Amino acid sequence: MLVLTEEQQQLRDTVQQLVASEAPLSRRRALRDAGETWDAGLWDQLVELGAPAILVAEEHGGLGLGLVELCLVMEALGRHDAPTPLLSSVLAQGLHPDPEAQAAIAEGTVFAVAWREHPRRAAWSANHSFASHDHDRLHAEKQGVLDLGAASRLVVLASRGTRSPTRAYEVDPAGGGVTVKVLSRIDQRDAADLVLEEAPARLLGEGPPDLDTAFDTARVALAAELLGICEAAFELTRSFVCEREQFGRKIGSFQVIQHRLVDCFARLQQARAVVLAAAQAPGPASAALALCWTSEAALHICQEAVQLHGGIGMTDEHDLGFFLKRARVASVLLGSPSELRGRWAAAQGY
Amino acid sequence: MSAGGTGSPRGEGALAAFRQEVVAWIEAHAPEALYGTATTPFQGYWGGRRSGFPSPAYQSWFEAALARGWTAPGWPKEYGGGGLSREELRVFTEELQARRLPLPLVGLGITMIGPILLSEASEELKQRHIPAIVRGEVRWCQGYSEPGAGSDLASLTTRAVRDGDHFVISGQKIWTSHADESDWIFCLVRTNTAVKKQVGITFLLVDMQSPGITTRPITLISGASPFCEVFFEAVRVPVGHVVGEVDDGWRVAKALLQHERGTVGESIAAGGARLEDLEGYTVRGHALDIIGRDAEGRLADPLLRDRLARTEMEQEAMRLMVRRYNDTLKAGGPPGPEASLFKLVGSELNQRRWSLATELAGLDGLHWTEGPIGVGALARQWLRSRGNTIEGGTSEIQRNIVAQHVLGLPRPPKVR
Repeated sequence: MLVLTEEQQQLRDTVQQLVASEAPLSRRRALRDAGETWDAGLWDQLVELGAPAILVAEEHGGLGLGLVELCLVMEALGRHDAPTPLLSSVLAQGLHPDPEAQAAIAEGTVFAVAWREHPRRAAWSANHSFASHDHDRLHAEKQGVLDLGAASRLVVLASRGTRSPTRAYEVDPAGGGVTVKVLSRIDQRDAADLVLEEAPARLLGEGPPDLDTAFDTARVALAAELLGICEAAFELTRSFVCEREQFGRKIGSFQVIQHRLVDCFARLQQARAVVLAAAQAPGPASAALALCWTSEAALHICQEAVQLHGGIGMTDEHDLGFFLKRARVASVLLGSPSELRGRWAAAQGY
Repeated sequence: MSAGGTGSPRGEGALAAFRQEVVAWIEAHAPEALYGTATTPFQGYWGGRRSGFPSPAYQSWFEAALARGWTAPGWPKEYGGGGLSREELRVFTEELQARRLPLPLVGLGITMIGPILLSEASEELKQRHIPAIVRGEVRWCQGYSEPGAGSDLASLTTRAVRDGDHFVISGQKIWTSHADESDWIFCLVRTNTAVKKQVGITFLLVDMQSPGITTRPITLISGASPFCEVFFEAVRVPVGHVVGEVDDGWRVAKALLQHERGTVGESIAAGGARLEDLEGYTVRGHALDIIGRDAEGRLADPLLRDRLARTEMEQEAMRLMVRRYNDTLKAGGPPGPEASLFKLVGSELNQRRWSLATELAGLDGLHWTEGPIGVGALARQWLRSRGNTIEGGTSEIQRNIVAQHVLGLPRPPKVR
C-alpha cells in the first residue's frame, strides 16, 4: 500500500514540527551569513530524536526502522533546506560494517564518506584511489566529499589496483597524509576535495561492501530531501500567486500562470509517489526513478518558482534561492538525471 | 464507485466469507477463454439490440452474471442488481482484476446513466430503464458536445421546445461514441434561452428509434472511428423522459461527472489505444530488435536508450501516482478531484510514447495499412493519440480544473 502507517504519520508530524521550529529558513540564512556550513544545533536535536539511528539495527543500538522513516526526516530537512550530515551517516551506515561504528553512527558521530573521483560521473570509483598491498596505507584523490568539516571519522573507497575489488577503508581525517581542500559551492554546505598520500588506513569488512545497496539507499534518501524542496518551492509559489496583484488582478487568476503551476503540481504528485514506492521497496530501478524524478522535478519547480515570483525571486533576500541552489547541488551528488536513466535502463536489462 | 455499492456494510469476517463466495462463483462460471484478457474497463459485452456478443465466451459469462444479479453488482436488488455493499463490490472487482477477467457487462449504461438514474430519476424512469440496463437489453450513448459547444459545453444550442406533454428537439450532437449502435441517448438540451446559459439546460433521455434522428459516423485523421454525429429534426420526446427538473440539467451532468471519477486511473487517456493494448508490443522490444545491443548488453544507441528510459520512467511515475491515490482511498482517505490530473498526465504521456515508437520505426512506421513490424499501422495509432488530449476534456480544460479545484487558485475573470 502506497500510504503511510499511523506511526509513520506521527513521525512525519513530529519531525516536521521540530525542523520548522528549530531550523526555519531565517536560521539557515543566519548560519550561512556567519559562514557556518552545517547546523550543529539541529543535528543534536535530530540525534536525540534518533534520526541517524533509524537504519541502524537494534542490536547495535539503533532503532531498526526502515527507509520510509528515514525519508520522512530527509523530506522535512528538504522543506527547510536544513544542512545536516544525515546523508553521509546513511552512506557510512551502509559501508562501515563494524558494530562499534554502527553504534557510533546511531549516537550521532559524524562520518564523511569519500567515494567520487570525477566531476561528471557520480558513481563511486577507485581509479585514483589505491590501497597499499597490506591495506594499511591509502593514496587517493577524491572529489566533493560531503560533511568532511563536521566529521570526526572518514570512510574512503579504494582498491589495490584496477583489477581488484573496491573496498571500504577508515582513515583518520585529522591524521597524517590527509589534505583537505574546502570547497565553496552554491549551496554553502560542507564539501571538500580530499587528497590522501600514504595516509594510514584500516580495511573494513570481511569482503567488498555492498556498494549498490548502500548507494541506492542514499539515493532514495536524497530523493526524499528533493521532494521536500519540491513541496516547499511549490507552496511558496502557490501562495505568492494568490497574493500578488498586477493589472488589478491576482496573478494566480491568469491561465498562463495556472497552467504552469498545474504542471509543477503534476511533477510534485508523482514525486511523492516515486519516493514512497522506492522507500518501501528500494532497488536499483526504484532508486534511480526516485532520484531522477525528484531531481528534475525540483529543478523544474524551483526554476518556475523564480519565474513566477518575478524580480523578487532573483533576490538573495527571498528564500527561494536556497531551494534552487540546493536542488542543483543535490541533482549532481549521487547521479545526474541522465546517469540515473542509464541505471534504470541497466536494471531493466538494456 | 461508479457501479454503486448500495448494500449495507459487513464485518471483516463476513467479507472474507464473501470473497470465498466470489472466488467459487468465478471458478464455476468464468470461461477459460476470458482469463487474462481484460485490458481496459471498456472491453467486453456492451449489450443492446444492435450489438452482439464479441464471442460465445462473453455470452456465457454474461448469462452467468445475470442469473446472479452481478451484471450490475452494486445496484439495488429491487432493480435486478446484486445489492453489494461498497466493500463487497471492491472484493468482487479485485477478484476479477486478479484474473484479468473482463466485466460481464460494460458500457455507459453501467458506468454513467445507471448510477445517475438511481440517484436522480423518478421511480417511473428507474423502473423503466434500470432493469433493462442490468439485463443488457439497452445500449446507451451520450449526447453532450455540439459543433459549437466543445470546451464551452454550456453554450450548447440543441433546442427542446415544449409542445403539450412532449418536447420537440432540433439540433445536432457530435463526438457521440457508438451512436449508430446504441438504443438510447442521454443528452443535454437547451430548454430556456432567457436565462444564464448553465441554467436553461435539461437532461433528457431519448429513444434512438424516434422519428427524426439520424446518425453519421466520423472518419478521423487516423481512419474509421466509433464517433458519430447525431442529428435531431423535430424529434418528439415525452416530458416524462426528463431526469431531474426541467432547466436543471447542468447540475445533473455535473453529478454524473462525479460518478465518472470513480473509474479514475483505469481509463487514463480514454479513447485511444494504449501501447500495452497491443499484444506483445513494447517500444523497448521494438528498439532492441532493430538496433541491437552493444558489447556490454546495452541498447546500442545511447541517445535512444536515454529517451526510452525517460519514457518508461514517466510511465512508472504515472502508475505509482495513480496507485498512491487508489491506496489512499482504500485506506479510507477522502476522494479528491485528481481525475483531471491523471487524465492530463496520462494522455500527454501516451502521445509521447506513440511519437517515440513511430520515430523509432522510421519508414516502417509510416504504413496506412498493415506494416511490416508486427504492430499494424503504427503511425495511425500515433495519429489517433493526438486526440487523447482533446477528448474527454482538453488538456487546457483539465489544467483549469486542477488549478481551480485542486490548487485553489483564484478564478479568472468571468467571460461571457
